[in-house]
Amino acid sequence: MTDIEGTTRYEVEEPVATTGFWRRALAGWLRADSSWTLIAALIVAIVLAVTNPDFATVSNLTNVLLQSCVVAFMALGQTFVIIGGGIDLSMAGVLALSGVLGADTLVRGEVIFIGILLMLAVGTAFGSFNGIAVAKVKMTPFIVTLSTLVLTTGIAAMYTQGVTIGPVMKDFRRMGSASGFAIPIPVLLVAAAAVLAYFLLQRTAYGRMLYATGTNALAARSSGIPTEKIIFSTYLIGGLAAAMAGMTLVARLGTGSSGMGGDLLILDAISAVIIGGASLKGGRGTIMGTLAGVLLISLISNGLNLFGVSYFLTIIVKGVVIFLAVLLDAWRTRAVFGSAEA
Amino acid sequence: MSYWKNQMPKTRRLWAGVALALTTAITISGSALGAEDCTPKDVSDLTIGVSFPSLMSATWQVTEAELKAYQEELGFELVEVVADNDVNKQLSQIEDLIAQNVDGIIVDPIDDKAILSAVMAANDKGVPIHFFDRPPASMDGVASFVGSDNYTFGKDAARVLKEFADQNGVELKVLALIGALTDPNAVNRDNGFREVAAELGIEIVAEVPTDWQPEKALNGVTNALQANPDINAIFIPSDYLLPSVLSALKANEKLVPFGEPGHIMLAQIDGDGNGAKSLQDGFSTVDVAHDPIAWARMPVDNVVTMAACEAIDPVFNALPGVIGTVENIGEMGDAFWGNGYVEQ
Repeated sequence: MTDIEGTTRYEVEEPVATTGFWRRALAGWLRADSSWTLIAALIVAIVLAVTNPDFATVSNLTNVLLQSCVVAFMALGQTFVIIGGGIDLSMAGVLALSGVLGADTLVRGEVIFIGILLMLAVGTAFGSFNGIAVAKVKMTPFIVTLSTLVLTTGIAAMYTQGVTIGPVMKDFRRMGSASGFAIPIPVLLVAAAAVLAYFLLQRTAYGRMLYATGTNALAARSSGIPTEKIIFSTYLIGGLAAAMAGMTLVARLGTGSSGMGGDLLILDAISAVIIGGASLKGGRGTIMGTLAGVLLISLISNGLNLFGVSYFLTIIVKGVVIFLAVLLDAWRTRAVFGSAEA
Repeated sequence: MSYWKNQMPKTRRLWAGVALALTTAITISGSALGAEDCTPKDVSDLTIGVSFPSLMSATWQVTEAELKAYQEELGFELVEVVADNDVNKQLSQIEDLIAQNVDGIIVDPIDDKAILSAVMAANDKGVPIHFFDRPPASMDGVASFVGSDNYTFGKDAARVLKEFADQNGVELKVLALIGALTDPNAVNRDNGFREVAAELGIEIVAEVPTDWQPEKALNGVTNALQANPDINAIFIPSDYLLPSVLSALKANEKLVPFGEPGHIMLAQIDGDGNGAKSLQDGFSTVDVAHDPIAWARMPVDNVVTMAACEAIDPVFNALPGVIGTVENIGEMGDAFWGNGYVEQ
């Protein structure tokens, strides 16, 4: 470069890294909340393996993975909704309705494929319902999804008249069980769904738009992001996830009933998402974190069962875990935004 | 050597051959049996898992207490899990019991059809699974069942109700509460009651499906009394719902003891402390009681029998009920289990 008269040239030195590549990579990884969740899950696993001889067996570990599949599906769907700044309380009901309709189809001897298609259709329908209510009509997510919960549970109860539908054909039940396959099919499905979700969320423009919408919907809209469509899509994904959870549960139980969604399943799913690094305010969260959260909750449940912890203590432990999850969320939000926001 | 081959008479050789063959056959089959069947285990070496649907009903609480007392008596290890009426949870808990390689699982299912997956899982791993209180939808792969003959309980409740009604010249107009339809006991009690009701000409004017939830019973009874003020009897298929019914009656000023005008006859099943007290106070007419002590002890005995490599008989054991009425409750004493649990 030739010197121009009257100008002073400043030589800039290339910055040289003073710490090694791997050390920096590890430091970067540890900054992510999901990493700490994974570490916590590993610590719990190691403690259980050391203190309980029944834990580290193939059959028990397979059980843990299998038992976490229903929550895993719900948590994966909930991740999208929560990152978008919303919440979906209707999942248990959508799970039950899709499960009941699917089970009935299977019991009537229909091809398994038709039963699965029907379950996914129910999930899509109610996911869209939620999405339109929240995104287009601008209703509050908490209230809307709560009413969808009541609606879907009610339809399921009316359809079944309180009776359990089933048992479904043995082939379908085998698909949901631990025997006969090296890795149970539901676990494989969760893995596939997780990979798909990861790519969608963290490797596409859609994902980036979702994070932006969740962080600040107004700013995102001003930047040209179609926030309505994005938010609608999150509830659609939530509905589909609930249907997948319903399908898995029907395979596991071999039956469909209006109460199969249970009362606390959704709490487990939301806790898993929060523990994994998401914030109820939106804009944060990862698939890896959600899976780590699901794993942690499943390991704790399994540990409590294996140690024969008193029934009442189990409930208390569960409550404490959920409380800590919400505390974590508040602490993290304060750390990021300052105490005024917390 | 030469004697056996060359000099032994033919017939003797033949008999020797047959004897040898028979002995071999018996030994082989004996050892084959020995290879596939169990090594007897002493009760003090056993670990038994028990799965409760919930602990909300007094009958289950008493069963639980009896199990613990029996455990102290016999010295086995007891692992208890409670599922909070969550079908998924009950399956997961039983899977975890199987993973602990317990010697037997005793279960009271929330849902008699959904529990079949747990039975499948137990059979896959060779863990014997026994039932108490509520039978599974199918006994395939199930080692034993101990419970009440709920169908007959329903019939007894109807029959005794009619007897008292006839004694007092009352034309029955019954409100029938119904339990959870996923509970085979609720279905059987209801069916039994209705069968005798049809036979004896008892009129059921209203019904309330409660799903075994006290609030549904409370609201349902209140509404039914409003719609049908001439109701003079209520069939309550479980004493778990009794407090709600008594509340509803009290709120509508219809809680009147036996013998006084406006008395509404209550026919119940379970026989817990509340049921016993209500009989003693004269609010209830009849209560058909279970035997929760048998529910605790007999399944354990079945596990022990299997562990000792003996056969269980009977495999399906539906026990008769103890009928307590407003007239005989005072003399029944401990035969009616609720008498020992009346809150003063």
